[in-house]
Amino acid sequence: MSTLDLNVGPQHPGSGHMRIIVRTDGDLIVEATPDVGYVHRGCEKIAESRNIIKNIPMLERPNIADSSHLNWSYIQPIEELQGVEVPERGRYIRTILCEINRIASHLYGMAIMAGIFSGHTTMYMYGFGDRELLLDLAEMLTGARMTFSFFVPGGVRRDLPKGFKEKLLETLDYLQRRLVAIDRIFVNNPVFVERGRGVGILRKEDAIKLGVVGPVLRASGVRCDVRKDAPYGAYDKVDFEIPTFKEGDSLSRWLVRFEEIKQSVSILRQAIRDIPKGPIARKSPIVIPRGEAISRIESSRGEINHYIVGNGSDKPYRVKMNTGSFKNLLALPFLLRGVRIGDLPIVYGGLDYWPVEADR
Amino acid sequence: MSAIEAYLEGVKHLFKKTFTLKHPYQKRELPDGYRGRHLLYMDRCTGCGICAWICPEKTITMVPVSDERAYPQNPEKRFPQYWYVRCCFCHFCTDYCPTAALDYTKDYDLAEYEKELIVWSPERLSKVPEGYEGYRTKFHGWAGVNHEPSTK
Amino acid sequence: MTATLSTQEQRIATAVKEQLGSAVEDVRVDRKGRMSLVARKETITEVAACLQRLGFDHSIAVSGVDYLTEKRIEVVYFLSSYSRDDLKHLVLSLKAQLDRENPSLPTLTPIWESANLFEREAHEMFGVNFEGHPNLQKLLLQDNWDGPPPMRKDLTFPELA
Repeated sequence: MSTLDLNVGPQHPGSGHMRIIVRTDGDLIVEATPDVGYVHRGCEKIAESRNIIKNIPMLERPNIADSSHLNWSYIQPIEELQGVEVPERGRYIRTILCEINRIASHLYGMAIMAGIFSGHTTMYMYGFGDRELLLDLAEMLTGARMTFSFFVPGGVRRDLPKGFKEKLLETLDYLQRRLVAIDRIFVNNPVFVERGRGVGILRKEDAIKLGVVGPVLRASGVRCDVRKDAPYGAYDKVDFEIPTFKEGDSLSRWLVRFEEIKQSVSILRQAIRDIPKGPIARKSPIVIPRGEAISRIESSRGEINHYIVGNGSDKPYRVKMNTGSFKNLLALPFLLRGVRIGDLPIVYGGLDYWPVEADR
Repeated sequence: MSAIEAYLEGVKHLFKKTFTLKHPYQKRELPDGYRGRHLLYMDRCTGCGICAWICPEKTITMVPVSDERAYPQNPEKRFPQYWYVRCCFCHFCTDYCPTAALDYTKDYDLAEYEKELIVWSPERLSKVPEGYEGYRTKFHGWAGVNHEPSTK
Repeated sequence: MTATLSTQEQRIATAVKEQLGSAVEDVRVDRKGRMSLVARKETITEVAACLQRLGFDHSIAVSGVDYLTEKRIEVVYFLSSYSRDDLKHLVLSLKAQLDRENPSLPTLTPIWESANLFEREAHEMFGVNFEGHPNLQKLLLQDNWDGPPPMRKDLTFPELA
């Protein structure tokens, strides 16, 4: 059998820079090797020569669509080592911003997979247009549309402004109506379902063996979510479910994100109703005591961890970042074996791989 | 049956409002506290340099200002100068200033044709920017959302 | 402090000490949900197999740390569980301390496959040799990088401060 080696990338629409070297026999893919590292900037090395506050804007930029989770994951071990406890209102505000960010990031991921990779431009316009309203909300709260730099050790930087609650509830009503429209036009659409159903199946045993995280894991039938297993912030005080599907194909990965948006809308309604009064931050010194700590946060692409080793100075001794996209990278060569070339965008879009987050 | 539902949903769009905003002829109204360029109050700055120390990108340098006015709280007359190419607009300088001498503005259009103009001297930073009439979003129930002038 | 520690952590600590005895040192429960233990280079495969039997089937991450003044490089495996509900909240750090001149460790990819890419990164960033790894090539650095391993502390870039 004679095979052909093809290059997918490193520039391709709908995603950052990464290359997949694909070996095909006719139309079927025999072997796929990802080649990553095109956007590696050395964040971990730079973080050792800057103090805690100066690291915040740099370490949240690996994922600009979902930056508040990276920010929280960097701040959590520092607060653990310093012994600072965030007040209740600060925890609720952090949860509100993170859930707004989760809806915006899931709309982005759904728009890219259904819109660019499979050619339905309507979903691209719906996703990005509705995302503008959520970015308006974040701008009202923090002052910036993306990469907010809003969490500092000890709490948050600003309180909820006047008129935020009304605007949030109006936006959530609009979003719920919009989700019904997406349900009617896409989820029951035979053209879209046919492209994704049964493509790139990941069974439960393989998902556990390969160590995938996030919506990819929950689409294969494993009920794991850090917000329920090890609650942080205000997640132990709100009621929500974790959507899981059994099939493990690309369509289920898209549907997990769709269902998670509905759960996030419910969390936001409960959080803005129950938020207590009080201070938003506690004082915290610009020093990391001796010791080491690790954080666990559930971002929209999976579990992210920061492992921080401190040595008593204002600069961290070692910062290790682990993101959901880096863990899901191991599943890409496994899933691409045996699919056709035409299905490669659907499998790649279902994983929602963000190259800058994986390369740091 | 699901095909008919999808078609009806598409037909509803004939009666919905348009979301498009014709930028730059129509601009969005920005909220208070928007992170644009900085505004310097020269009669509050003491020249301590905390803004230059906390800046993550080394945007700020403290420079002496040569004019005849006397600044009693700043005897050496040192004020911050911003090199806006490096600024990431995190505004840690504004929040950490001990005398509240820096402030937020809604001025975000800072592009220039000449490289020297991108360095903002303290006098230029202390000019208050002009405002403009903006458009804000308005929800119309099932008819969707559009932009309307904020003075309406 | 010990009164508030959960019984899960204590149970795992006792089980580990019973089954492994002198193969592990310094079994500690630091806080609620965080444990750590230190294994030696010769015994790490046995320790890892025992931990997998106890229910730790999720290898979250693998990190290297360079302690320059103490002349050692430490490789830390962070473990948790997918399938056991009583262990899902726990993170167990499995540490191995290696010599700085010639650090090498047997690979743990036969036990936890997700450690594959992390070990490749630790190899190119710290210079640790993982014996038996299927594909120990450069992952993030460019192909023609010929300098020393970048994350070691004796390679500094003062202009990045």
